[in-house]
Amino acid sequence: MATPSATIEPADSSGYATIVARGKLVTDAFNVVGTNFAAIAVDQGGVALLNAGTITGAGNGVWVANNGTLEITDVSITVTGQAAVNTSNGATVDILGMPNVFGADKTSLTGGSYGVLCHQGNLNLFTNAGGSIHIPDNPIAGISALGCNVEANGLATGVISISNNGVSGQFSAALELHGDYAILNTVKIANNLDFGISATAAAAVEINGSTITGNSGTAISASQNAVVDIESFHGINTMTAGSSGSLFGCYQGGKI
Amino acid sequence: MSGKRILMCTMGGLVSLVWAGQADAQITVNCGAGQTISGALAALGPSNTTVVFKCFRHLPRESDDPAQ
Repeated sequence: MATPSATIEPADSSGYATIVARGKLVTDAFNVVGTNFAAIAVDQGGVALLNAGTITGAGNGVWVANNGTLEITDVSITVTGQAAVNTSNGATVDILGMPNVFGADKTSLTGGSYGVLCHQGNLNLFTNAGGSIHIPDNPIAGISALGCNVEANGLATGVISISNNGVSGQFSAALELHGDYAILNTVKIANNLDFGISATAAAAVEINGSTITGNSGTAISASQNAVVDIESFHGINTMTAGSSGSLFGCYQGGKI
Repeated sequence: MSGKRILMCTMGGLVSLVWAGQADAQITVNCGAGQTISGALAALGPSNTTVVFKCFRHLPRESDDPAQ
């Protein structure tokens, strides 16, 4: 049975956001059309729980700033602004892939440049059995983290896929990790134009039971004292060299 | 404005009602599948205000929410 949906449109496309959450916001089965800046802004300690729906527009999908908290489940974000999810200054973002009350699951993040642009915060991706998170078709990066801790756990038969990102002639990576740490458990990173993972600026990255294949650039790059650990507690890692790059690349003090 | 309020999707004044939410206000906006809130900037004011947007398969009725 299809998920029902209603739509929220902006009062003014030049406004800050269609919905501003500074208290607690819950949406169930809503399509939100954004302004030129954002569809939903979560700031000043606000909390937004978005369940089942879509977000579209010319700006960011969800802007999370100033200690805002966002949790999305079964939400498809396709916007042409900078990022599907864009964070700043103490944001906490949970992206969940799990069947909702309507039995559907279509969590997907595509922005004009980034799927998730995480600055100074925490980003968690989690799937349970039957759930999925897809981050495709982002020109610069599926996930770009700067001062942001990233944890991705594709548990049970859940799928976290950061694939088919990048555009020709643009340096890009499925994951750009600048500093802080990232834990990638059972994540698929495939068929991206350019790098699979680019870890820089002393980032600490742990890869476990993941697939990094079919990318055009180097599969895993560690530079500027970044350290990448590859472990197999969550299953076998499957990795192939980029069609125009290496399997591993270490530069400027980076270690794998 | 405090306590619980139920708004229908098509109700006018949504902007001002939500913006004016005060301490402990709980606002539920009920919509039916296919309905559109057009031109509604739902800005949540105080940190302890809760706004819930709910979509039903049918056009919402007052009886859809026992809090009404």
